[in-house]
Amino acid sequence: MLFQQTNSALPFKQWCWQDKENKKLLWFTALAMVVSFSWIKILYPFPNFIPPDSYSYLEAAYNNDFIGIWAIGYSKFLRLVSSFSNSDLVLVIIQYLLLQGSLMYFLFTIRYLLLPGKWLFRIMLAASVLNPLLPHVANFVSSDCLFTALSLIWFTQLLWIIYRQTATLLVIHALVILLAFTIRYNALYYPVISIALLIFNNMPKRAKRLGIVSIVILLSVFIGSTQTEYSIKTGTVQYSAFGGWLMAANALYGYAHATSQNPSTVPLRFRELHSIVNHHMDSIKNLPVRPDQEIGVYYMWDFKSPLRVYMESHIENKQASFLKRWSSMAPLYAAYGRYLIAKHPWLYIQYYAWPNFQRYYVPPTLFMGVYNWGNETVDPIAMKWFGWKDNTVPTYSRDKKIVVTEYFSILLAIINLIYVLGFITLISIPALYKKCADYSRSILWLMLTFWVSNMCFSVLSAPIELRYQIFPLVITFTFGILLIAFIIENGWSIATQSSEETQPATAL
Amino acid sequence: MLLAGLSSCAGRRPEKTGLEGKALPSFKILLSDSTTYFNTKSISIGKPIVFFYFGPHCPYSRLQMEEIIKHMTSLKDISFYVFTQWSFDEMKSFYQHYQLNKYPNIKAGVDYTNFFADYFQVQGVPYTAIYGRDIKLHKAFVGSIDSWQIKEVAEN
Repeated sequence: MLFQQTNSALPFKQWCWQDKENKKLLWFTALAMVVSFSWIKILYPFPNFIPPDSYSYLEAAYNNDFIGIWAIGYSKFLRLVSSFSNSDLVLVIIQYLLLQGSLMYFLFTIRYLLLPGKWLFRIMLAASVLNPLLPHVANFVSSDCLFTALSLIWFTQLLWIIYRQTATLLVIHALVILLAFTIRYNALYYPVISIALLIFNNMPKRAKRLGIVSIVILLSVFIGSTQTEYSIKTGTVQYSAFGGWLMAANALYGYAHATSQNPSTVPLRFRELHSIVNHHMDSIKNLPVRPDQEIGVYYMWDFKSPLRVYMESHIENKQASFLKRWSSMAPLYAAYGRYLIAKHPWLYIQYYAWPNFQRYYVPPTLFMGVYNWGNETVDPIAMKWFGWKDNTVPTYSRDKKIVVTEYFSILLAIINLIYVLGFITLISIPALYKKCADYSRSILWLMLTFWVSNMCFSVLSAPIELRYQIFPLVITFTFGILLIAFIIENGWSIATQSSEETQPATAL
Repeated sequence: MLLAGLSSCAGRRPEKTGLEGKALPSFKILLSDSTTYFNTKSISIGKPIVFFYFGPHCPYSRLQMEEIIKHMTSLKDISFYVFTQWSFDEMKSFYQHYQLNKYPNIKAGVDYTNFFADYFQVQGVPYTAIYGRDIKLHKAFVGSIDSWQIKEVAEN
């Protein structure tokens, strides 16, 4: 029973394959995967591309780069898959299998550790496996699918670490964090949560040390190597040029609504950039439709963005690669972004953080909502990488709109609300909270820590869209259902007990 | 809140197994010395019996074991058969961790035929089946229970 003080009787692997119910569920999952994947490939025989992200990943893979505009891990994954096959179908199948495999690992861990009721778990599993976002995200040439899969593994391992800490698990956990770290900058807060759990969880000191040291060593080596590569290729020592650009771009959404600050009042190294920014803000302030009306990619990528204008005007070597030109600006932009945010924190909150928080609540579908972003063709690098003879990507869908994804923007809002209300209800009724087993409480607090961290990081890091929130969607849905079921089941029994106990007292 | 607090004193509710009143079944356990196969049919009438089915890494099984050990003085007249379906090594490390060799009324081992889980349709551990002096099943519980509840069920 849910949150009861019990665990499954068999070792996990043995239980997975021997339990009769599991066998049925695994057969159902296999069938659902075949149907779901066939459906997506009939509609969209070719993968989906996100310009310019997908092409940048392919370029970095083609050149076997160690650094790129985006985190390099996915490009390395593309190279790894290409060593077996250059077929786009093989790539998408592998992505889909990894995603569903990690989902199974998560769900069966939940079943093993928390023992939800039979039908409750069946509903959770069916809804998760048949989630139409999963085949869509697996069909992307983008890091989203791989990152979602690794994130699910990371979170599931945290549940296991609370339950039982083995040396193998702790070392593999550090490796999973490293992989997630190489694939998406969103993983920046993962090691913080893992290390905090290792510190606060009741476990042997030796295991704590092993877990923390493994994470710190692996990440330090990777960060150090990345910084060295940046130094060699771009002449700047940094970990993520993307982060520097993003910091300035996000800050400009706030500064765009400030009273123009005289360049002579800003630190010397920002003055020229700041003049260009002021000039830009003057030029757009009276436009009927401002290009920065909605937070998005404008200040980051648009050629008219003051950050791009400054970059183009400040490159000594015009023959240098785009990566070098782009990366060399990042340290200055990071500092400038921080400066603007510190100077105008309220405007930053009002015009960047708050709108992005609204996007967190109801994330726009953007690239998930339109196949190949409405384009008929792909860039030459995609043809070259997959060995295609022409650059068109036809579909059997009536138009390029992926309508099903639109429902998930609203669904995510509802799921988050259910989860938050469920959690608040649980902790605000002591009798209910007391009924929840210690181990389940630890898991629930871990989930809340993740949920809050993800919300803060997502809102403050980059403009949110649906594909970034698939991992939180999957686990929030599961925990939302578990909480509601627990509250209904136990809330009713508590209410019944209370009324039974009250009646004789009243009579007396 | 008071009522909720009082309700927790009532102890855990037993499972409905359909086996209540039936005599203890016959099955074999490989004991912790790794050589002796103990058959439960050799258990004779006279002392209450507890079958404690556990998971070596299950936090609630461990809590239950600690509860039993902590109150062993009051439970000394009950014979405990403590076993798992996990590997012998896992059982042995559990056995050593709790120093079960110190307690003459505890026999620990592995249910290597998986009889117990099938017989009681066990869905989770810890699972405690309590038999009276007549070696007939009184009650069975899923989840950890207090020592007083074990004693009360065993002796009634």
